[in-house]
Amino acid sequence: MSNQINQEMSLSRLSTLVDSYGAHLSRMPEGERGQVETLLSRSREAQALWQAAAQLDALLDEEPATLTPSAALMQRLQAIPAEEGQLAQVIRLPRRANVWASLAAAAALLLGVITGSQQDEGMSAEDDSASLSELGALAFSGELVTDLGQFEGDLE
Amino acid sequence: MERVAQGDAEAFRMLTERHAPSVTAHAKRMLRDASEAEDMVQEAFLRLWKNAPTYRAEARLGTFLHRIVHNLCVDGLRARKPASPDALDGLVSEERPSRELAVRTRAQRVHDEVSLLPERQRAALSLVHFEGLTNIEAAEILQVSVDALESLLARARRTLKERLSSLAGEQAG
Repeated sequence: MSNQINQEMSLSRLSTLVDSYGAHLSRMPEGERGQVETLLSRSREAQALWQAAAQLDALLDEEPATLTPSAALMQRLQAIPAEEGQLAQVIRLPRRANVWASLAAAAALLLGVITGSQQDEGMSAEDDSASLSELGALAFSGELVTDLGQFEGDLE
Repeated sequence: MERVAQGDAEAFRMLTERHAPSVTAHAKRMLRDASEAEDMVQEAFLRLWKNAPTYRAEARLGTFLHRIVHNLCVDGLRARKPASPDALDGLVSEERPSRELAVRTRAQRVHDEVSLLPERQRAALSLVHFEGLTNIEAAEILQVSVDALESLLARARRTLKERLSSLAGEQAG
């Protein structure tokens, strides 16, 4: 009786497993694969469940070949290195270059302050678009590294 | 991946050949639009290339790429109206005669039924059944527990079993 209950429970679990993973032992949770094999070797009901799942698997495996990447996509992907720089390599300047970068940032900032002070006072206060000098300062400051952090977030 | 991080274009090419087929198939199943799906794959590989120097191997690269592509696809789905049947046209092949046509039509029917599954069920089935990711990897990509993943898979397969029962009969005969 106890064995009967155990087998029924196992059949129920096997049913859940094949409902989820189909007739693929390798896709099932590792810890349960041995029990599944044992049950399949002993029970015709288990084998019937397995067979039904295998039938659906076979149908699903008949997918159209159009899901593969097109030749055009592969070309676009393989052109990426030639067309795009690597963000971190662009930003990570050599230590010596950092001195110049800092000087350039300071110069750009100074230029921004001077040109800003010389501009017409009538300039709209709502005009928040970045001036060239601001962009220059941004390019050589740590702001772009913050952008990299955002990309890292995407990667994680 | 280390070589890619050092800007090695050849290593990147090998990486695209290895991983593009799987992530493209997943994107096409998710988006039901071949062109948009390929744009998403290109964007994912572009991000990978640009950020390779800061990549930290916390997961298998394939899983990692699937996660980027999947998230891009979900964003793409959110940003558009429900797909029209026309969107499937790009995935439908030209007619061929006799037995090949019969197989093709059946394959297309299966594909269309998969495409009609709810988004998360479709994603779960795509990752586990078609792309062969482990349950743990797929659950991580979909940000659900393994139990929830099993439930998504079971619902997807039950629906397909019902909708494809006539094809299963043909197959058996």
